[in-house]
Amino acid sequence: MHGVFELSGVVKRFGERVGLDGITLGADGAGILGLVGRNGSGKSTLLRSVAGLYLPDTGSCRTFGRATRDLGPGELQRLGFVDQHARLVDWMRGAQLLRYVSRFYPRWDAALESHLVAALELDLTQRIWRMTPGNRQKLALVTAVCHRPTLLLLDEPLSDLDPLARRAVLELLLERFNSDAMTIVISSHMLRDIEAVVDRLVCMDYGRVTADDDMETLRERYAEWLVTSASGDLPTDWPEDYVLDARGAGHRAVLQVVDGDVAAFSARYGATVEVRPLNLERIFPLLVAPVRPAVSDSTFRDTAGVAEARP
Amino acid sequence: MNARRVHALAPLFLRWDVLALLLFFGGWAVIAPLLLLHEAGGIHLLWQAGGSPQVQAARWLLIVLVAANTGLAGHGAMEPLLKTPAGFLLPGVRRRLMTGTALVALPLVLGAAGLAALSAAGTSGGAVLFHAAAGAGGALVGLAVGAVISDGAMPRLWRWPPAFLLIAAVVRPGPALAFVNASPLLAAVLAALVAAALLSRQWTPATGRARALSPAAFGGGTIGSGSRFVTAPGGAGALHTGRLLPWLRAAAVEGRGLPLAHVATGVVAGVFAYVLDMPHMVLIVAGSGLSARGMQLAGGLVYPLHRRRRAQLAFAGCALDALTFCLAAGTCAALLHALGAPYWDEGTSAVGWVPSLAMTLALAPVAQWGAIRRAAAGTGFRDTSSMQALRPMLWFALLAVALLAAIRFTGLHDDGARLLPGILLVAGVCWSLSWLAIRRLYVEGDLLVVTPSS
Repeated sequence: MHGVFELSGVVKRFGERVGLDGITLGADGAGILGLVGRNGSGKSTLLRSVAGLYLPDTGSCRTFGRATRDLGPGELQRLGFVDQHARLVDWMRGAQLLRYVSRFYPRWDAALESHLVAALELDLTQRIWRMTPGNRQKLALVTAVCHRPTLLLLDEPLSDLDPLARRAVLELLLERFNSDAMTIVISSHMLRDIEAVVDRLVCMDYGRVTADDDMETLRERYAEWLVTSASGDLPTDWPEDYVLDARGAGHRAVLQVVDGDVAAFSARYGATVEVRPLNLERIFPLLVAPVRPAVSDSTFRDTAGVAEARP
Repeated sequence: MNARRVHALAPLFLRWDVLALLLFFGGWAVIAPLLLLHEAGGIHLLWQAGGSPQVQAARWLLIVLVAANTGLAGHGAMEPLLKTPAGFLLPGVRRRLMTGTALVALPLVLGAAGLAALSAAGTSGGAVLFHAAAGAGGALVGLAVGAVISDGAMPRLWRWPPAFLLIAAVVRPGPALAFVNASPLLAAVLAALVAAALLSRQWTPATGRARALSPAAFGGGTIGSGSRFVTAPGGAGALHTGRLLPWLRAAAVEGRGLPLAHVATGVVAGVFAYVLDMPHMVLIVAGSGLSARGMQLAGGLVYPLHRRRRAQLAFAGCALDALTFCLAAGTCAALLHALGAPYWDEGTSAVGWVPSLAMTLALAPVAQWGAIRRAAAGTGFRDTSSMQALRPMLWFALLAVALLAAIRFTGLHDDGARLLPGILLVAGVCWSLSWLAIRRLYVEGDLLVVTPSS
């Protein structure tokens, strides 16, 4: 039983299209969870389901221990949510929106609001419909954070921001995390940016979880080996159980491996191995499913041996 | 104009608000030949040849005002493209949008010409032709005025005089009517010239550049967007108790003083119906006015409210919107009647007002479904909610026509004993179904756009 949120066998369909295909996932206590995946993999659907905006077709979805269809003011006041397409009340000015949203929450922190507005260099006198997409995104972030939520769901909060603004937002998120010890779920395609802040990574593809591990473990498990043969050419048929990709020929090759044993490999092939760590951008292609599974396919290929097939 | 150009324009018109208005005009097209008018001598078909000055004025007012509404809707349809930063610089966009205007105008102008000719039937062939030309001219000028007054980028000098002329024609149609009757061909030429001048000014590059930088005249941030409307109740956390009344006020805040807008629409409907002495006009205007927007929480925020409470809020918002509209329309008409407003020499009758207002209130939930669905499911361009809103509105149009026909042709409104239970039955069915639909939407449905982006 997970305290913050828990999805169990959640299926969500949109007509013929499957948004979530039997997702089982949960989070306990404080932490920053990164949610990655290709376009259309189900990240937004998952976040909206946790926020109670989407209801599951089958399976159970609980937030703060309560079914999402029954979330009341008590739970929703502990939740902050930034949607991918921040649809705010467009005719309001920034300051008006913040004043309006502050009425929703008894724990609204005006000092924090001033701090965030200054740090993000937001012009609150502008009407929202006139704001740039980046400023709208920053404003949406402020509305989601100032009531000091326990669970903060961020759907692509960095997509419209310039590099400096992205850095500022991530620093503020870390500041909030250190101050309030909240659970943050952040979905993004900016892998380099979120790699530095997340401590757990969930990868999704075709509505399913293909990987779910903490970042340290992922970095340890996935690596690039620069293999040099001590004598003669290297073989071309590498063991498929842990070599995911191989390039090069002759006496040198570059392998991408998961859970590889360097000593055993060296002994078997008589080669020297230089191990290089992979960053998230290079791990990511190894985590997603190579082929689209059939909707009814329950034996989903576990690409990297990280996640189990979901029923 | 080729098929590709028409195809490129189509998405501009596939929006819930434009569709609602087009449905409204479609409804008009269906019922226009059936419209009846009370006169001193009894009830007459509106488009029958001849008729008293009252009947004649009503015809011309209908042509001009329906055309003005079409111009307003047409401009609204183009606004998403025109408001994009470089939208006006897109290759050929000016030509295409002018083609779009012509596409909207053509059936309207032809229809108006046909109706005007119908009203002159039985006279000489030349008179019929001249009246048809005058009808087309009236539709053209109405369309141009509607398009211009809704365009925030037009200079005030080009917006206010046409607006005042339109109001003057409604308030005192006598002089314009006398001129049209005396010289229909000259009236048609003058109207066409005025329309050409207005529309050509609207499509100059200078106006296009100004438009890209200006807010929309309606719904884009100028009407009621001042800070005076941001009076969300109490201080920080004032809404956290989840009580209904403060949240209703919050919905009113989000709607930028929407009750005021419904009062204004109600007053316009009341005056229009009183002027034409057609109380059922209120019901038809309500179909358009109440379906457009409602007192709902429509922002993309996570409101800390239980789904059940949101359903109650949506239902209460609908009831308040409908009550506001009907009270405004009824009060306005009652005041005009009590003051003996000398619009027509004979004065207007009060027949049909009570049943019309009651029927409007009873049928309001059907019209309001579009507004509710929009609030719950987002406001995407060509989104699924537009299509979902369309079906109930189609039903509403059919229902309104059927009820109008039934009430008019069975004389139901003359029999109070049968009327009251009938209206109560309709109200009971509509509001009960509305509550069930709202509850289902909020308690069991998704609260964002239906198609996931990722």
